[in-house]
Amino acid sequence: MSTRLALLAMAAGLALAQAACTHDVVYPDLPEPVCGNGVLESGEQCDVSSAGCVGCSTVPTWTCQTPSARGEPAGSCQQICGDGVTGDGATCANPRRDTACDMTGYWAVRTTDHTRDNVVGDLQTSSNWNFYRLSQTGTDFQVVQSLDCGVHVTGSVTVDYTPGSLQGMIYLNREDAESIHGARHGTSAATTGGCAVTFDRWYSIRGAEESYLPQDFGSLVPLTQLPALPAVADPVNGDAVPAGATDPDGDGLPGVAFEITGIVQGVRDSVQRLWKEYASAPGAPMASAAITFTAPGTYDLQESIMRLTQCGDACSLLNTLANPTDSAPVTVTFWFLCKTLGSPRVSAVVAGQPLQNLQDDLTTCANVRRVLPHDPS
Amino acid sequence: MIRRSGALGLAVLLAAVRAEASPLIELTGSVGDNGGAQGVVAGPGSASAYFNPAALPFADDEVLFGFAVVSEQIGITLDGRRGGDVPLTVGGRGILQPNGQPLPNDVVPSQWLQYGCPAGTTAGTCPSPGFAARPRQSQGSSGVTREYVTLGFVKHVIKDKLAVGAYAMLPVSNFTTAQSFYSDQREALFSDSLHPELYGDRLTSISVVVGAGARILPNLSLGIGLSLGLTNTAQSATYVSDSTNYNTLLLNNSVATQANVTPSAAFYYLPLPWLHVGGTVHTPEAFRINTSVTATLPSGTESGTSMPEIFDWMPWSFQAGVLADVVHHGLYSMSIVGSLNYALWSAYQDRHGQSPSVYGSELGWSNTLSGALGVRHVYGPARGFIDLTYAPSPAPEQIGNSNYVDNDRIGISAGGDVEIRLWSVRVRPGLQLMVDRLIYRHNTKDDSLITDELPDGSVYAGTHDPVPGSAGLQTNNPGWPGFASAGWVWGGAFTLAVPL
Repeated sequence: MSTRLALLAMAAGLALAQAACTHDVVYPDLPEPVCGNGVLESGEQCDVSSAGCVGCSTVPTWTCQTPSARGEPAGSCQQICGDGVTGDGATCANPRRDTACDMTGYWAVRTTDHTRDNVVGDLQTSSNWNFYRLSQTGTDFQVVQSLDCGVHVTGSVTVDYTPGSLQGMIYLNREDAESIHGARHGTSAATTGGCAVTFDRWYSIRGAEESYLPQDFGSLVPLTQLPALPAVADPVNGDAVPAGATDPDGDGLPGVAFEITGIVQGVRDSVQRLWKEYASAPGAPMASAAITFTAPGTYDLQESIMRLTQCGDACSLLNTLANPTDSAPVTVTFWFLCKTLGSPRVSAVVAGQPLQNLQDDLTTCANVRRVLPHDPS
Repeated sequence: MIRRSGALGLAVLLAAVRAEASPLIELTGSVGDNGGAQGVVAGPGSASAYFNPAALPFADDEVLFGFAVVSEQIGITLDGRRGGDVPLTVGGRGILQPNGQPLPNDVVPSQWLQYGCPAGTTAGTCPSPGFAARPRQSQGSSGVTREYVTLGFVKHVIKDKLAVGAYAMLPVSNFTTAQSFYSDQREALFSDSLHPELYGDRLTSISVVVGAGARILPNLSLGIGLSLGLTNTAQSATYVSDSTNYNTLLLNNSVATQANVTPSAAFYYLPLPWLHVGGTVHTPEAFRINTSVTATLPSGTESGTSMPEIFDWMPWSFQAGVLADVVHHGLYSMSIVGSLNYALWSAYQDRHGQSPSVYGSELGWSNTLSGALGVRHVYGPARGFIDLTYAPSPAPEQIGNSNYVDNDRIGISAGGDVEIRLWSVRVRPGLQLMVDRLIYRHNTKDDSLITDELPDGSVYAGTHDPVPGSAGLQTNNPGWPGFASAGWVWGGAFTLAVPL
C-alpha cells in the first residue's frame, strides 16, 4: 500500500513538474501595413485613391477622413475651402478660386521639362519646384516672394539636390524684387473660355556667379550667346576651381551637388544655366478660377561638370551631359494655396514667415513638393 | 558622440546601501516548525525571528537545519504586432521631430532589434562592430530553480520569559544578484524582453534575521526583529581610450561591504488559553545602488550623472493572524488559523528607482491585502499543516508604457514534522511543499498612452521631407501591443530541527 502511494506521489510530482515548466512565447507579427489596400493602418495618414493622398500621406491643403479606428476602411479626401477658395457643400467639392483670373496669393509651382541622356538615350523628366507669393494689378502680376524648392529628375537615373544643395539654393535666383533683375512678371487676363496666362522668361544660374546671366532678361538672349560657363578639364581626377564658379552647397567643391542614383550612382557637382518661360496657347486658355492649371512653355539649359565623386568605376558614365529635348511638353503647373498667410490652406504648406527662417522655408518647400509631386509621365 | 579617435576618462562610483532579503522569506513562508504560510501566528519556531519575534518565548529551544528549493516558472506571451515598427531610415539619424528637436538617439529601427545591423560602411550597415540583434523576449529571465540552505535557532535566555532566535535562508549559488531592467520602451535597447517584476533576482539575496521576544505578561509578549543586510560600496574608475574597442579599457575597482539592519516589531497575545493572536509590522527594505558616472574627455570636458537603482524593495507591511484551538482530544489537537497582510505597495520603486505612477496616475500600484487560511494538526510527536493563500497583484493592467509583469497568486502549502529519537538524540525531521499558481493575466495596451517614438510629422533634417511611415504609432516597447503572463512558483524544503 505504501509503495503504491509512493508511486502515485511520484507520478503526481512528475506531472506537476511537467506542467510547471513554462516558457516565453512571442506570437508572430501580423502582415505589414499595405499602402493602397484602402484600409488605414499604422504608419499611414490616409489610404484612399485621391490626389489628396499620396503615398498614404495626406497632401497639404487636403484633409482626409480618419476612420474611428485603425484597420477600418479609409474615408475620402477633400480640399480645404476658405480664404479665396470656394467649393460646393460642406465637403468643398469642385473647389475653385473666388476671383476668376486674379493670381494674387500664395502658390506652389512645379515646372516640368525634359532632357535626353547621352548614354542610353532615355528621356529624363525633371521637376523643379518654387514657392511664390504673387500680386496682380490689372492683368499684370509679379512675384513678391519666391523660394527655389529643389529639383527631382527621373529616367535612366534619378537626380536630386543633395541636402546641402537644397539649403544652399533655396534663396538664390530670387524672382522677387530682391533680384538685381527686378521682379519676374506675368499676365493673367480673362478671355473667351478662361484666362490667358503668361509667365515671363527667367534666367537662372546654379553654381556660378550671376554675371553669367544676361543683364536684361527681357532681351531674350539665347544661352549660346552668353559668356561660356566655367569649365574644368578633368572632373574625375582634377582639382581645379575655375574662376566664376561658386559653391552654394558648401561641400568644398565648385558647382552645385546633385546626388545621382539608379543604374549608376555618385555625386555630380555642376554649373547649370537655364531659362524658362510659359504662356497659355492662343485659343486654349486656362480654366477660369481653377485652383490648379498647367501652361505650356519653353526652356533651355546648359551644364558644365565640375566634379564627379562617390561614383567609383562609373564616373565616366556620369561625365556626360544631358541635352534639352522638345520631344515631351515643357509645362508649368500652378497650385493655388490661398490669399492670406495664416489661413488653413496656406498654413498647411507655409511654415512661419517666408524668407525669415531657413528651417521654416525648408519645411515650406518640402510641403510644396508634396502638393505637386513629381510626375514622371 | 564619442568617436573612435576619442579618449576619455570614466569614473564610476557605485554606492550601495542596505541589502535585505525578505522577498524570499515572504514567498516561502516559515520553513520548519509548522508555521507554514502563517508564521505571524503559527509555529512558533526559528522562523518566528522574522515573522513574529514576539512568539519566540512560546517556542521550544532548537537548532534548525534545512534545504529548500524554489522554482519560478513564469511564462510571458507577447502579442503579435501589425505595423508600428520604427522604420529603418531612422538608423541614418538626421531626423527632426515636429517641434524642431532632433529625434533622440535612443530610438532605433525595429529591424535592427529583430535582425541586427551588420558592420560595414555601405548602405544598410552600421559602423563597426555593428548592432547585435536582440529579438523580442529572446532574453526572458524566468524558468529558474534555485536552492537554499536554511538555518535557525531559538534559545530562551530566561525560561518562559525571554527568548532570542535567528533565521536565515542562504542561496546555494548566485548570492545577491541584482538584475536591473527598464519597464518601458527603453528596455528594447538591452534585453528587448519583459521580466517578472517581483521574482528573479529578488529571490537570490541572503536572508538573515535575528529576533528577540519578551513575555511581559503571562499571556502577552512583545518582540523585535532585525533583518541583517549588506551594504556594498563599489567604485569603478575606467579610462576608455577607444570607445569602439573596449579591449583597450583601463579599469580599477574598489569594493567594500558593510552590514546593516532593518527593524520589525511584533506582539503575541493569548486572550484565551485556546486563542492566539499575533501581529508584526515590517518596515520598508531595499537594496540601493547609487551609480555615479563621471566622464572626462581629452578636450578637458567633464560631465557626470548619478543614477539610483533599487533592488528587493519591500513595503511597509502589517501582518496579523489568529489561531484557534478547536479540537483537543487526548494526543490529538487541531487548530484553525487565518491571517492577513496589508502591504503598502503603492510606494513601490522599481529597479531604476522609479515609481510606477510616473507612467500615469492610473498606472500607479495599489496597496494589497493578502490572506491565508489553514489548519494545524498535532498528534503526539507529529505535526502537520495545510495553508491556502491568496495574494493579489499590486500592479494594475499595463495599458501604458510600463510593462510590470505580475499576477494574482493563489497557493497551497503543506508540510509536517515528527519528533523521533535517532541514536538517543531527539530530532525533528520535516518536509513541506508549496505550489503557487500565478493566475493568467493579459494586458492590452492603449495606443494613446504609448510613446510614439517617431512622432507624426517628423522630417529629414536636410530636406524637411516627411519621414515615410511616421504616421500613427511607432514603438519598440517590447510589451506593445499587449502581453500575457501566467505560471507557477513551486518549492519544497526538508528540515531537521534538533531540540535543545
